Amino acid sequence: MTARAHDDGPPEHRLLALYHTMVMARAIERRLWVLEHLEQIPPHQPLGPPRDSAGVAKARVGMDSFVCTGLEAVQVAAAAALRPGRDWIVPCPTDLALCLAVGLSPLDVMLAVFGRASDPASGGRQSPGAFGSRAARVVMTSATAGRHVVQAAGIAYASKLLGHDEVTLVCTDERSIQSGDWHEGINFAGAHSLPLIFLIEDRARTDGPVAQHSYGSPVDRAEGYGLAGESIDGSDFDTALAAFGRATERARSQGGGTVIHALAVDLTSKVAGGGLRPPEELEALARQDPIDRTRRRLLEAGVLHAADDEQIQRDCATVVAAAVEEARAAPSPDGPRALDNVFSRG
Amino acid sequence: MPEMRMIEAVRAAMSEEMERDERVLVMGEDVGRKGGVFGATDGLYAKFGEARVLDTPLAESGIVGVAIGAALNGLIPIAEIQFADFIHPAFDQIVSEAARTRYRSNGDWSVPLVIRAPFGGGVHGGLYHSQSIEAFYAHVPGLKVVVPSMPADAKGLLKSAIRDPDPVLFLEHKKVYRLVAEEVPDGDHLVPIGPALVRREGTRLSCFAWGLMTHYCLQAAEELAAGGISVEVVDLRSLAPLDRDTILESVRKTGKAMIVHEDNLTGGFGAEVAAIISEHAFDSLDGPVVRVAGPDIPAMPFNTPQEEFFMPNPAKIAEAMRKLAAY
Repeated sequence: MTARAHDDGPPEHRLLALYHTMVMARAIERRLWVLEHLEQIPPHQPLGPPRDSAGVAKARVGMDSFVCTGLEAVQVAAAAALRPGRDWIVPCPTDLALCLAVGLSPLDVMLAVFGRASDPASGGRQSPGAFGSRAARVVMTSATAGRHVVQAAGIAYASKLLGHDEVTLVCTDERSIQSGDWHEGINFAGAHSLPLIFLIEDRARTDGPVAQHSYGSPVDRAEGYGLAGESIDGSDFDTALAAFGRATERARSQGGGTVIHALAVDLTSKVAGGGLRPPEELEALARQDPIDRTRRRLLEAGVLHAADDEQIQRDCATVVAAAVEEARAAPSPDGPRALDNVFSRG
Repeated sequence: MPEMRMIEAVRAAMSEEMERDERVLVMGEDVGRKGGVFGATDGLYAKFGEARVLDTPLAESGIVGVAIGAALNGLIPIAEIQFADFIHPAFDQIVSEAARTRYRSNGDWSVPLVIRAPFGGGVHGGLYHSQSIEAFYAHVPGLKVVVPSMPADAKGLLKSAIRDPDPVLFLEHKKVYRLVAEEVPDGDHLVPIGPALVRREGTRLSCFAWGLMTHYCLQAAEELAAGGISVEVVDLRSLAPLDRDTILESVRKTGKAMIVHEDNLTGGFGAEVAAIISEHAFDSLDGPVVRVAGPDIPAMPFNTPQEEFFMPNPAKIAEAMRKLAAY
């Protein structure tokens, strides 16, 4: 299978836009890693945040709660199968590329990272990685593993009860499928044949505690609960696109839910159980980089040209740099405004 | 106006709201064909169908989580937790999710949701069918906690809860379901969530309670009246929001305050009421703020002597009232 403009697939300009989003997500994350090293304060620092010469506290930059690297292809493929603003997305903190693909901007992300008042998702309240937009139907979730999965089942139940042609996508990493709420959600979805897609973004970061291991594949579990299930190469954009096409078609034709178990690679240097990967291992993993694989295929198919690719890389770097500067300069919320929006009035 | 018991008033409120607004649905364990273990949803399945009177798996986190999602997508769910004792698996969905959704999204999202839960003891329910849970939840900003003690209030407060844009925990005392009957207004009878109600005017001391304890306090006050001691009984009705003004006004009038709840003493909601009185009506006090509550043991035993030992009752309350009045 090769990435190209199929009759039944995305047109070329859409493929390029999706690739652009993948590159953008990576550019944002790379920039955040640098910012974190430059500016983040240790949470245990006893003397409070560092201050500039005028005594003003430096912005705290937090990003370590989300790592999208390695998941860009499967995320934009999911977005390509959905209808932004109509279908529902219930993300987890790794879903940067997914959320960008359905309408969140790099500036939105940076405003959240800096905790600014104009952060459209939460006004700087939630930790970075809590994406959300009512307009885009990206549901803001919490930091607890799996709670949002059963909520997604409720969203899909409402779609069915109201007779709305909507699909809901809910995402977790490979660890959250151990939680009770994941099972309660998938059980409810199976019982009611809901238009719901469960994406498991599995970077196999389970080489640590034995308690994190699953005994039995998620696909077997899906079938046990009455859902369809498939395991895919989550680093392969075309494979993912085809899987989401089948899942959304099943959902829209009242065929019920699907679990998509996307196997991807962890391209970061940190090992889940502690320590760093040796360079030769990182080099081997890098050959599985979903962005590189997508780029090669788009180049081979003639959809993307080398010069265009360079332009995309430059554009993304420029946009991200501008977003960082704008977010850095944006005002923080006033302390007492912490009292707002506890209830509907007041 | 028809005469109703609380269970009938609760049912009427749900039925009327489901007729009024197609977005309203009820969901929980055995709420469908069975009509609920106490009969609160009896007849709703036949009237509104299985999609809006939804039997759920026996999984409380799932019940509340599904209800939250349904609320996010435009429905107005009434989730029934069969017994309040079983609500704890849903604690995180209620506290970290439903109560926090508006706040964490800075107003972008909201969860209009009612969670109904029968609570309380004195019915030989034992450790796992007798609990009072209000203190856990009244502690949580973003969540309203309502505890009616009378049928008309139950109907009016539940209808208000269903129309409220924020999550409401609605606690119904099991022993009150069929304890008393009173005339309940037809149709759009709404009781606002928040204001307390002075059930009995008095001059010598103020007694604050909710749920079954309101009835017991009224009985105790009647007993004391025979001896010439005038007791004011205030039914708080809503613990969150809490009507501080009515509490303080009453204490400033009588100079003495007692809080009665069947939840165990330490960290019970009475502590919060006592703190408010101490902080804001100190100059009016003519005696210690007194709490009458369950003992600090893990839960209410099944056997009769120990259940009676646990529960506050009119005699225990009357004794405490006499002691405080004489202070």
